[in-house]
Amino acid sequence: MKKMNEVEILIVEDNPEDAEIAVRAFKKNKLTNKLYVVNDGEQALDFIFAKNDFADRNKLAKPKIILLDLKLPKVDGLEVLKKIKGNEKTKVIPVIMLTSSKEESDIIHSYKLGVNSYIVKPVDFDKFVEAVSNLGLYWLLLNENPT
Amino acid sequence: MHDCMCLMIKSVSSYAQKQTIKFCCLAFLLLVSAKGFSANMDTVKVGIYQNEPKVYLNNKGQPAGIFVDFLEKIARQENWHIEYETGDWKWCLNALKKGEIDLMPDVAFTVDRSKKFDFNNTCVLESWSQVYAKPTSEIVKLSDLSGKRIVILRGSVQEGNFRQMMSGFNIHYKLIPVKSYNEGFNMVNNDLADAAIANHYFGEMHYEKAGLKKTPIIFSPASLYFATPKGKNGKLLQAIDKHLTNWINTPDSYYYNTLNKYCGLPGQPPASKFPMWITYLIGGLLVIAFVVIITLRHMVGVKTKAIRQTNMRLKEERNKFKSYIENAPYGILVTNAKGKCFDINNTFTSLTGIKKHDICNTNMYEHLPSSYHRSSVRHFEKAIADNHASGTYMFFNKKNEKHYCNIDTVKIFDDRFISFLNDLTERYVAQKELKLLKNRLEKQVEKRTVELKEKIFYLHKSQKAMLYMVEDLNKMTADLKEERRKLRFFNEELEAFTYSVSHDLRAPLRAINGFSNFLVEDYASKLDDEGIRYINIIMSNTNKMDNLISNLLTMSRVSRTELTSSDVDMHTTVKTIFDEIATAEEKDEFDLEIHDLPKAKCDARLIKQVWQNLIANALKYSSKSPVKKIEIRAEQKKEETVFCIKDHGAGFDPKYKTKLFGVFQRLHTEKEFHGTGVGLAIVQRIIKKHGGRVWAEGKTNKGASFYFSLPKKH
Repeated sequence: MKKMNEVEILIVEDNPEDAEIAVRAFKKNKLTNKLYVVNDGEQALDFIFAKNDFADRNKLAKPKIILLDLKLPKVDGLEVLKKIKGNEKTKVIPVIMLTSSKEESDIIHSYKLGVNSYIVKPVDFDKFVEAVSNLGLYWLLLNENPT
Repeated sequence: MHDCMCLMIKSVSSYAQKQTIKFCCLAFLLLVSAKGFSANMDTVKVGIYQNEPKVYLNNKGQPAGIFVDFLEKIARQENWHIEYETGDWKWCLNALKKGEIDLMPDVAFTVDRSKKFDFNNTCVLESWSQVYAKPTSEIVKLSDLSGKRIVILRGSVQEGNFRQMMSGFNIHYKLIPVKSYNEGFNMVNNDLADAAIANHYFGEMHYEKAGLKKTPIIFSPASLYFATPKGKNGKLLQAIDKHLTNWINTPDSYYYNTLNKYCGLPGQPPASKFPMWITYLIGGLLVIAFVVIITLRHMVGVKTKAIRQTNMRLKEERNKFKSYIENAPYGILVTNAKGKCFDINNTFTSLTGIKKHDICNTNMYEHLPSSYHRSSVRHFEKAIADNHASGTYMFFNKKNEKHYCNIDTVKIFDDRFISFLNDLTERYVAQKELKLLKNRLEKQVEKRTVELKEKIFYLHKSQKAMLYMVEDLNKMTADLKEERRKLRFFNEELEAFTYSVSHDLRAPLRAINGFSNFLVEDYASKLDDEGIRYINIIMSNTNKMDNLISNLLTMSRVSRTELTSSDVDMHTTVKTIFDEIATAEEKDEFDLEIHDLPKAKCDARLIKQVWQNLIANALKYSSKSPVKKIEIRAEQKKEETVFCIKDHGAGFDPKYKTKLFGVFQRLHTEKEFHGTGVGLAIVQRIIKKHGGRVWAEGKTNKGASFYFSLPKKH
């Protein structure tokens, strides 16, 4: 569990292949920080707020970035986003939405809920790597969190 | 005698003033004596006529009589020379009026005459008139004179007084005016008249000789004087008065002697022959009598006045009542039970045409057509039995005008019935007309009712039709709602499907592509070139499929999206898109010519998609051509703006141009040009959504021109 406290990038992705592709794309971008993947919205919230399975986790050790898939089982991605941005302690964490299409309603909704950025997951892996690169996460992760 | 008394009162009251003077004269007659005197006068012309014994010409043709004797006596004392002018009474009066004679004796004083003549003050003689008749005559009172022939002196005071008196009593008679009393007496004697009127002086002297008798009818007491023309000979009268006064006041004077000589004056006291105390006794008695008479006369005067006023009032009332009757709106008929008519009013006459003088004192049935007799008799029988009867009758009057009358008959006293005829003709006619109008109206109402019913019937029909229509409409609305609901449901389904496709179909593609990539990266050394080629084919196909999915999603989005129009700057849009989608190489190679493009009213995002697809096509199909030129222009037409993008690329076979815009329709092989066959379909959908058209012109290897139009009005 101690390991959990060191997580810097939380990836919320129900599709394990997608999660793996994402991790690889991050690594390709030299973002080798501690990554952790949860598979649904419920787990994501438990992790962030250190509940249930993650009750032992240090509440104060928050991830530096959350990659959130929009379409999730149990608790929907937007719902998770709403909870994160609705809490004083978690709302400063940058949340990057992962979506399969440029469905405008999703993007607009996410922005209204305070999402920081989003990536349309491309089929072409190279483009995925490029997109992650464009996010400029490297610099974000280097900087101290303003908490 | 009673009648005579009335007569006396009536005549006397008119001259009460003069009479008083007369009695005063008589009262002092015996106490005072006269004294002579003289005056300077030459000739006095005196009118003379036959009125024995006062004035007349005697058998020798010489003037004689009481007045003449007095005048002669005075003339001698006053040194007057008398000249007589002879005529009858009326002539003399005229002559005096004209001033042809100076003096006329024996003129009764009247107010009228006093306006034309001057009179001396002292009354010469008292006179009254009396009616004389044959001894066999039964005339004893005024009413006996009714219907009689009566002789009277033409123009005399008696005539006027007699006429006035008789008219007051409403007695009808025949008056025969004559020139002298003598003539009148003779006429009575000869049965040419029934009675004669004369002053009592003449009568006393002559009635016996004429074979007549005095009747008890006396009237018009009068005082007789000397008269002169008005305003002349005042001195003459003064002298006469002087002498007369003396004589009258002196017993046994010339005055009394003369009276005695002519008529044996009744009541004349020959003073000298009686002892003095008798004279005084008589005088006292006379004074008492005088006072009594005066009192009586006064009382009579008051009474008379009251009676006259009552009479006048009665007359007024009678006239008023008569006018009420005459002017009543009802016809009035007064009859007895047998139908004898006594009176009708004007309204009755105007209603029936029967005149008063025709019907009065006759039987009314004589004036009614026999056809009306039965109903009339019945009506009156009822009135006799019940004291009243009422009924409405129709009749034709004398002018043959139809009348409806309500007749009310009432018994007013024994054998007297008064009938009121109320003319209802106008009301009947009006009622008849009203009935006619009512009938006409009823018919009209009936007709209108039928019309109205028909209208209502049709209205009901159309109302029903309308109701059905409304029902249909409601059903249609409901159907539409249902359809819309279904549509919304399908749209939602589509949305879900699209979403699902975008997520779920892409995820495996990502996996295939991603892991193929990892395979190449991680296991490249273990694969030969063919192996790597296969993997690359897999990866390119995943990309191709990704494009297909993308395009399908775009197309579905275009279909679902509502247009949000705005003025879009086409020039900028085109330029921006070219810059976005053209690679650096293409930008170098291609000659892009953008002509003036007008602003267009359209959905900016969708029109961007159109240009994207068209420009991408132009670039793609020109990639193998030697000429790399793209021209973009626009043409303003009346109702639309046509945009055109022309390239010099591969072009197409015109026979397939209708297939260009179909989904998944391609005119080139994948080998020649990559493509999904969805781009132009998207273009067509967007333009059609804007109400515009798309078409294309081209030839194989000669380039292609794509056109789309946007209507100026949405």
